[in-house]
Amino acid sequence: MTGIDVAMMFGKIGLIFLMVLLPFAVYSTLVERKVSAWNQNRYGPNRVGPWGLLQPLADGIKFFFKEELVPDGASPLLFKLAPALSAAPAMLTIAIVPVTFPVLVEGRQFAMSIADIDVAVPFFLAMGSFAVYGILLGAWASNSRYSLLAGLRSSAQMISYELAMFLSVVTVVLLAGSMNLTEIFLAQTPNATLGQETSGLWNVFRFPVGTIAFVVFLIAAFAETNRHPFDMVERETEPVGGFHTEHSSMKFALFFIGEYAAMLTMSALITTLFFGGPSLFGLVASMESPWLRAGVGFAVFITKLAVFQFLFIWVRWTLPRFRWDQVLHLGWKVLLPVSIVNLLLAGALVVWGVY
Amino acid sequence: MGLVGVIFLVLAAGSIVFAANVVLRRNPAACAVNLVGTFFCLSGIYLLIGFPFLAAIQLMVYAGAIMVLFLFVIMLLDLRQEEPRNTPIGGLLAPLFAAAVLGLVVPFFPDAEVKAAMNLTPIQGETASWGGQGLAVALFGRHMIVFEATSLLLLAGILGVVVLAKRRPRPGEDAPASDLGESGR
Repeated sequence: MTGIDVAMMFGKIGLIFLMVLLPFAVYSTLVERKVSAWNQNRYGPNRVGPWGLLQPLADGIKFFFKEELVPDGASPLLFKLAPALSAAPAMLTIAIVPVTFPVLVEGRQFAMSIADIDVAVPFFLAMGSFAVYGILLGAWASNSRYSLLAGLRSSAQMISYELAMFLSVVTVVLLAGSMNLTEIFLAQTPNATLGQETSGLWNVFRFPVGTIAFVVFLIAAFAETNRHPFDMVERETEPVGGFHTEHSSMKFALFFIGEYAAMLTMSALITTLFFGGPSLFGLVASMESPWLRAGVGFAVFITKLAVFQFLFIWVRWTLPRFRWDQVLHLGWKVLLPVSIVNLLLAGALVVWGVY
Repeated sequence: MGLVGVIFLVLAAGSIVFAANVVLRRNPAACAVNLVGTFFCLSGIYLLIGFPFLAAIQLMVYAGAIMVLFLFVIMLLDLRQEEPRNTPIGGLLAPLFAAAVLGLVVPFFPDAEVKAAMNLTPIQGETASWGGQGLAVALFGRHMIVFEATSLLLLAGILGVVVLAKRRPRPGEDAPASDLGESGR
């Protein structure tokens, strides 16, 4: 490990933290309130700073100064650990997502994800199944029936939709022939200068298997992040607030940030797995200067990310919530069989050389 | 001892502490959480000896899937009361038994492998390239029969549990009590 490696590592962490994680995880709360206000013909927060831009800051300060309550009979360590457990997996998963094209520094290629690992897909799936712990332990440790009920129903939902999500990701792995996310998005980039012979089609346009995998992944992503229409966590129409009923002050805020970080992670993965990451039909990839390519690629990636983040918010304020039995029916009897058949079809098509 | 050695020591100590907690804690949910910690440390050790795929699978299957089900069941049963400590005979026998097994097994370890494990050198040779592909080829190629036999073993285990856990009607009772309670339809 030389000095360049260390410098690149800190550079990438700084870039992804400042340009991706911070604005998207924190400012999404403001965007959510603004979009919900526009959907309902209101103004939304507009008092703190111009257009309410400092609202997240004010919220943060408020959360820090709120009283911290720990209910009687709560398991103290787990109760405090749960918010961190719910936010950490989503933020860790960002580390494997390549935000732009690889750059050349002193003759060496650097993939632009914090951790360019060959087992990125299993890592993502492992972190995805870890997200359940925050909810389950937070609910159980609060020593409250309402929390426990909400925690059980939302973790049951997450476990059910994980399977369909896993299978649709495996379909993408079959199409790309790799489990490294940089290679997966490069396989969707039509370009010769990057030294790869690829069809260059975004996975979402690889009809039928890629498209079906995308639809399944999108629905499962909504369920995994516990967003509407799968909001089994909070069920805002019900009087009690879900698994984090007993969590107050910054602990609640951490659950909140965790939800937005999970949305961000899912948007980044949808972008990378199905929409070619930073590539734009070969326009960006064919640029000669690697640094210009990386810069424009980053802008393209951020734009796609923002579109999917907006989709998450838009859907929440448009669609009503599913009933509990409908959630399980969709997960086990529709999405799971569809994704299994889709996976078999993808395998057959790859073996026959169609793709 | 370099950085890798320090990381190994931390992980090894962590896994032992977590594992001891699994046995010693009286609260079932706390035991389950500690078991997750043990799996985390083990997966870190897999990473150190050069098996990233195995580490990820360990996290995904054991820590991510199986332990979530364990916790789920614990919470559904709602075991709020902590288990009382029962007679310490079992507690005394278990370490003795473990020590005896260890004393029997360790002398028969191939010396080189033990040394390799102690020095934390990534394992060389055929298995060194075991990312996903090498593992898949080995698992579904050369060791196919072993793999299938293992799944049969699991099936036998499940059947055994079902037989053991099934509630039979006692001679006096008429119908077997429903496990589903009043809402069982």
